[in-house]
Amino acid sequence: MSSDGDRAVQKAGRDFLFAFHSALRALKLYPLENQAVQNALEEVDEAVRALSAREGGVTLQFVGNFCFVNDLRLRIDLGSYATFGTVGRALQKHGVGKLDVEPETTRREWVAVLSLLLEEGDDNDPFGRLTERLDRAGVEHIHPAPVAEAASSRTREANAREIARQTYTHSVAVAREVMTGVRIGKVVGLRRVKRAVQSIVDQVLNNEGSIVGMTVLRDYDQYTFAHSVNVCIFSIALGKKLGLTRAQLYELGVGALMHDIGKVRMPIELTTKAGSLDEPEWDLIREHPTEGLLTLLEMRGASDLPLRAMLAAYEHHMKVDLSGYPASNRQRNPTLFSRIVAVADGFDAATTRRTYQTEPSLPDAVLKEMRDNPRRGLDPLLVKAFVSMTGIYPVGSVVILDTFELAIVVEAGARKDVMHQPIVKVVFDDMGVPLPEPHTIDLSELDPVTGNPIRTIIKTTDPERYGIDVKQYFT
Amino acid sequence: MDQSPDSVHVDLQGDDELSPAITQVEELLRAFATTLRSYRLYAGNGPVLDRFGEVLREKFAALWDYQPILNVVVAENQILCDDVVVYNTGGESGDLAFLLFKDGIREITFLEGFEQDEVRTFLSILARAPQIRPDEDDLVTLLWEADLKLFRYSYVEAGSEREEGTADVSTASRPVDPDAIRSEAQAPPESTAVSAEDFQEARYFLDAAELRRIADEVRREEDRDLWKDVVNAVFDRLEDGSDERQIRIINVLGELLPSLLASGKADDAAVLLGDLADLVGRGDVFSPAVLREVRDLFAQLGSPEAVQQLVMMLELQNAESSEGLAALLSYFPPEAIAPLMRAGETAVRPNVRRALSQLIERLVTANRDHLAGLLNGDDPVVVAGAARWIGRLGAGAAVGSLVELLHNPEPAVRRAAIEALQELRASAAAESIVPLIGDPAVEVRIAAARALGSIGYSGARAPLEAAVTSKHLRSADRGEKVAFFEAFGRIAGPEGVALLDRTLNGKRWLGRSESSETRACAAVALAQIRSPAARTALDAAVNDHDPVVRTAVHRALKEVG
Repeated sequence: MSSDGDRAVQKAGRDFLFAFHSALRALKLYPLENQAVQNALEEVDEAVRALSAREGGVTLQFVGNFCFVNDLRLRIDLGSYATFGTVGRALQKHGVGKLDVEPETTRREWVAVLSLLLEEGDDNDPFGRLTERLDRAGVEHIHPAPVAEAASSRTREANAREIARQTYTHSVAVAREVMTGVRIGKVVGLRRVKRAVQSIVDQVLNNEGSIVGMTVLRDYDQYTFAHSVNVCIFSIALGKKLGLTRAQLYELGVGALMHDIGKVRMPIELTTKAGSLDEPEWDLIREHPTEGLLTLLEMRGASDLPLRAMLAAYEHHMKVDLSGYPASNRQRNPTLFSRIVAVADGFDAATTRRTYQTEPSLPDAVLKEMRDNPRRGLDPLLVKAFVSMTGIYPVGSVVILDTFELAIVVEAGARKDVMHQPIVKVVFDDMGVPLPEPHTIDLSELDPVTGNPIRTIIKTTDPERYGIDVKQYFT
Repeated sequence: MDQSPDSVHVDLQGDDELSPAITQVEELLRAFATTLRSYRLYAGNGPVLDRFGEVLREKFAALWDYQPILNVVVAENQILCDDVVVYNTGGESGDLAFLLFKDGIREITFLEGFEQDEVRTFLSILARAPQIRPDEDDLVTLLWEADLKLFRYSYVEAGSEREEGTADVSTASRPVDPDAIRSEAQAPPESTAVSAEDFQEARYFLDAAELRRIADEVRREEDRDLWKDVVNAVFDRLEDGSDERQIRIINVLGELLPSLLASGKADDAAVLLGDLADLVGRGDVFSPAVLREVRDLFAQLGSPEAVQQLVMMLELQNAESSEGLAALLSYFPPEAIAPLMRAGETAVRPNVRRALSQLIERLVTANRDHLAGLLNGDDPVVVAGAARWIGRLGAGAAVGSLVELLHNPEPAVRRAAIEALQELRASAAAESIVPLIGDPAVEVRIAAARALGSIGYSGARAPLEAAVTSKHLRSADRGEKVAFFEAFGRIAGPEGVALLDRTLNGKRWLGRSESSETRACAAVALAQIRSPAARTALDAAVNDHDPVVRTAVHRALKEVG
């Protein structure tokens, strides 16, 4: 629409809203037959006619603090804010999010609608009560729609996901900038690292599901950077689960984001080598924690860098029995933060395709192995807490349902008793056909007749086997 | 309750007051900008600020009458509320809108109650913002760390628009074989698959005891000596690293030391140097090339500049000597002795001088040989200091060097040499001291007299006798007189009583006595002799009409006993 057109709709929409408000006010103050009421209703009719002539109908919608007429947001200013507020509240108390008004609406219908809106809403089901009474009053041309809980929650979810995605991509960029800077010997400040970690902490505290979901956006070409961010997200989420404070989560996050910085000191042909590494090459790779510690000590602003962050870079491959690498000659007890990073690192590395690991493992199998294989040397208590955070089927797992549909786990089951019943997005139907609009299902939902879950997971599967790119369902 | 449309009568009053009163917001932001300027001007303190703060609180309170929150959008030179410009500037660099905008803040929200306490923190941070250097934390980071509960903000990252599309998205558009899904689903489970036992929540959820363990561990982490962990890590790798890595680590340590010292962490620095010294002591850890680097590092500690910094740190912290500092000094090379001595002489605060003296003592005790070498230096302060320490430490081998210093042109050096020889009770050197009782510098003459008296060098009797009867001494200050008379008394013994008795009790030409001060000094000298004759001489003056003399005599008699 042209800006001239916008301005015209703005004016017509504003006229309609003012007429609506005047009529509400007149009906509140005077009896129906009063001329002021009749004049106000006439103005409403006129406004609807004018808008309908241009647009074919009128839709009035309130979303949060914003008012839309026919999808155009009306500008609130000093001369209109009270009108907006009054109309918005009148609709809101009856659970009305939207009114569709047909051009054929009669004055009698307006009286019914406006009068009912002036009443107090029903405590239990305001919208249901209103529509019921509108039906009884024979209102046929004005169609209220409820405050779209599902739609608005979808919108909120989409917004949260978008914010999480921005945080994620920005953090990957910061990791890339810092690591590349160190590799080429540039002086690297910590300011951007701090901001990135602070954003991730905020996201984990306020929007954990979305930001953890972003960890599936693994990018083979940016493995080291995305992996660093993933480990940061998983570590902070685990730290939150363990009750760390916001400031502690920040320290933990910095350590996690920088834990692999030593790899930038490794020969690039080694870190990008396709296929497995031989023993001398592994020997070199095993140097990266030491290189990480020294790099962080050398970095400008190191005095600002939490010591725990340096230790996380150094200790994240140490096992609880101090085997692993690097070897310790002096007394050592890896910090809690280092052990958290080790768990997050172990999980993300094993579930990701990377240079010297061509086949990633399925997330549930990785969790199981982390828990059951003592040779991994992870802190069993932290692994336990980690699994309770991710659920048995971590976000991003592709599962086969008992309906033979294929689905992707998008959120862990919220309660202890449903950790095997996450929320999934069904992406292929039972005939193997990809769904153009995947639908989200809570697997803990029960069939009201049988009392059994409607769908259950049979097993996890490799997404590549069915050509599924998990990333696309999280962007 | 069902009501007919025309029966509705509800008071509408108040419904009109729903959205932000823009003029209130404008006034508030103007007050905010004014208060911010005052914060900068008065560095966050002063009664003027209290008044501004009060105005600001009133503005907020007025706004809260209309709405419980204030949400505004930040543009480069403007602030907008509901698309209306509520604050406009000429784009000054320290301006409210620009300050927020330049660090990426695009929207801010104030909640009711913000004006009570958090406003001060917020203003302090904003007031600092124009001075923030590019390598320091920016506004967003400072606000994050302040963790304000009633203030929210959203921001954009510089260049974030270029970070779009990091994820390479492809779509699953091709159908798959449904039989493949079915056969995979029906295949026997692999050992890695989730099993029924995995659904037992006890396997995954922390119980109360485990949560307590975690909480305890978090608490312990807070008290942990993380620096020790870092140092242990660095030294583990220093121990087994290649030459190249060892040299890199030595350089890292060289960078760390000043920052540790600058932050007053002498204990941590001492631990680091101690571990390094241990590795050097093992003899098989470092190659000659690395060893040179290590020695260079220790040598740097002893440079005058490094010592000057250390003293500055002590001055700044007004520090007493600490165990950590003492331990740290024990790793300083002998080369640090000279600059420390100089610093000890020039330090302003007495407690710092005391602290340095204690530190120097540790260092010189461990490096006696190095001290003698310092006597040949050019810096008179250091030479004098070294001479004194030689005396205190009883380093008799240095007597020859000390005697040479008696001819040093600097009076402070000559004096220090005399005092050192006195400490050493070097009778062989006493003859060389004798001429210095006629030194042009009073402090040297005094030191020489005291030293000779202390050593008891009989060869000095005649010159001292000449001195105490000289015209010069009569006009000298009291300190010099006392030193000479005391020395004479000690060396002359009973043979000197006659002279001293004359000085104390005798009359000169025209029946005049010596001055009160000279007579008092004679009493002091008689006290050194302690013979019956000396006592008799003192008794004769016990009722002297001169109070100065009487007092000195009484004191001397007490000493004589």
